Amino acid sequence: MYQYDDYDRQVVQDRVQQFKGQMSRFLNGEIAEQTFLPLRLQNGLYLQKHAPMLRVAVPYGVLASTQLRKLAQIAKTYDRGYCHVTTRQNLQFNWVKMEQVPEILEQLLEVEMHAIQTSGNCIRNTTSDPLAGVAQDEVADPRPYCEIIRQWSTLHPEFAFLPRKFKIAVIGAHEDRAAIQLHDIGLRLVEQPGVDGVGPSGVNPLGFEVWVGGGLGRTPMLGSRIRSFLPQAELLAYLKAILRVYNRHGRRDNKYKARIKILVKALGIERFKEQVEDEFKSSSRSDHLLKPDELAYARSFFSAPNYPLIDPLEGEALLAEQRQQHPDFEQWLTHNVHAHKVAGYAAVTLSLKAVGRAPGDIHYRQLEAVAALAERFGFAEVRTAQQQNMVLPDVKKSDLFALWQALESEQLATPTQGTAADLVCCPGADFCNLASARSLPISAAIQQRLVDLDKLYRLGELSLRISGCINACAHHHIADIGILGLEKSGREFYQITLGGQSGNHSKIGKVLGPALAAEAVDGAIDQIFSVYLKLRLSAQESFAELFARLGVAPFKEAVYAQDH
Amino acid sequence: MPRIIKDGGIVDDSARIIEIDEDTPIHSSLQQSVFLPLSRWLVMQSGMEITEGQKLAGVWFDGDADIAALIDHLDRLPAIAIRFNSFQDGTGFSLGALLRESHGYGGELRAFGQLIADQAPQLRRCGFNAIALQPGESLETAMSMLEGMNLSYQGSIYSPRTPFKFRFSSASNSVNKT
Repeated sequence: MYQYDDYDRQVVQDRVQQFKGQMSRFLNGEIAEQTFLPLRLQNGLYLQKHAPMLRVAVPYGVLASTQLRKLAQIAKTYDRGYCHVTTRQNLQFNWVKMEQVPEILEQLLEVEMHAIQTSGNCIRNTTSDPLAGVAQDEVADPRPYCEIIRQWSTLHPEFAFLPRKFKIAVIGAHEDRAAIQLHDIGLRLVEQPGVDGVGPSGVNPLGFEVWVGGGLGRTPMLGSRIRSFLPQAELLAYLKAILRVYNRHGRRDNKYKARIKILVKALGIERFKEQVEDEFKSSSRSDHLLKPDELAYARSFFSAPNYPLIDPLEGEALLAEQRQQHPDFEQWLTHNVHAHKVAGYAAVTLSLKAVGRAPGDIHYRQLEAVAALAERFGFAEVRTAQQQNMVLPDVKKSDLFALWQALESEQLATPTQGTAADLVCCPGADFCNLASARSLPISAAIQQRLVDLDKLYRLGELSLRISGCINACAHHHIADIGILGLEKSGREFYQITLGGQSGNHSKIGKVLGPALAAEAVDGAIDQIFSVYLKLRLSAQESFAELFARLGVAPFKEAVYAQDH
Repeated sequence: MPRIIKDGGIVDDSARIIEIDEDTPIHSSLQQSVFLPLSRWLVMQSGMEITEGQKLAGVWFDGDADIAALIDHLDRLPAIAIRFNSFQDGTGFSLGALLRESHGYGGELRAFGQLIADQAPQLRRCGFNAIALQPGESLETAMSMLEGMNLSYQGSIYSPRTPFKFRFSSASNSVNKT
């Protein structure tokens, strides 16, 4: 993974010092509260219901075991013993004290971490595929480019006060596990089409397919393709051109119309593209281009580890035996273990969805355990995933059984990844000041209806996401079943959407009908499950396929008939 | 006299920003450095014979102004000022950068309006060499921030860089050794 040099350390150190100064000027009254607000947001500090919340950046979801231990220590010392994995691969501490924040930032710097631009109207943490570098279906590893974008976007002088927040995702695989079409800018590594063998090692030159104008929130939209091939050398120059057009022409009169998606929609992708290309031509200089040596240097941090040679067949034989003897292990293997590009290895999801816990929450003792497991079963590296789980990327198949046992005892082996019980949920009104309604009690009630694994597995792969407000932090629009918390004259209501999809076939869900009262939600969701099980043509027909075939009507009928 | 940051130091500033609805006669105001609103500046340019060596007035506009009509005059313009209507409205950063980067504007580029001390380093790096802060903001704080500004991943409009530009050669040597 990427290692800071003195340069990186100095950049972050300078920012920590600057923020320390801003905080003390605020505390002694030199900076007004309204002025301090965007300054603290740019450093990930929110004021929430009970306490300030500090959001820590996990660049493209990659964490070292040393960083996990530091996060555990912070959770233990400054928080109530745990933290929360967000849908953008970051971590949140929900119970910090404001005056301790500079101290926490200094602690984070010791392990090359920070909270820069985890909030505010600026370029946020770049997200990526949690299986980056180990996925079987990868054209190229996106992490070197993520790191280049991380550095370029960090404290960029021109883009610190954008009309609204700005999110970039990068993938290098065929399957989109980072939802690039739902980002302000989505980048997919591709080989240059139509050119054969002209690259340095006989392969086609790499570049990016560029998507722009996606986003959720009040007006969910999928991004449009603005370039089918952008040479990698031009990456930063092109990002700058997009950002400059947005910063100059994006709306600032209405918070809900300020994201780039609204500008792209208003102009149409063709006119928007024209403006970007004009800007790109007129402002790009050779200084903005990434040189081959520089790209090679960035890639050098992410070269594949030295996988010890193992006999894959031996591992398979052992696995088959363990599978048979332990049905629980078999379930976990089926749901939480993924293919790896190296024979004999697997990537493993560590589930943060144990029944009775808030989705994405992780205790400091678990963080410490994960750090130890990452060292024992891998190369001391862990990933965070958008689905609010963690991933161990490099586990020998022969170690899976031992890993499973260890995860079981840490409550990290809930065998439900990709099922309805792997639900994604924001902290909601229990914590967040922006929320309109609570999301955690809804999540808990639905979890209770899914404790029967047979029923859960019958439902198959099914995504369920709960957002406590229109900001859509849990990305409810792109779930098979989405739930959105609303508030009407002081009461909580929940709107259900169906048929959303993420990845290569991204789709925005459709509203089922009038919003429901809190106590009716889990029952309605159960009805939706029943309708799906009853009407599907076979166990192979997914929820999305059935929804495409039958639409909202049968679900609507069932839910609202039961309502009265 | 008001003070601003200019070319790296705090200086007294006698410049006058002529408001849009203000009808000060231009000839008298040209005795000191003035900034005319863009619309009035353009009208004046079109109705005036420019004689050799004549001093031109400066021009000011908001960050979201359409400056297409100004582009042909940039090489004769001594000073441009961009107004920031809120410190959270960053349009002006991009407009300033655009003037320097895409149009090669070389005269004074001033930022004024609702700006706070903490923004001075960003303004400088986007090409503003003159910075007037909103009332109540400390120029000394802004100066200390400018002086404390060391490293960045992007450089500035004057010397842009990619993040690893000066780092990979020395670093990759030491990486190779280990």
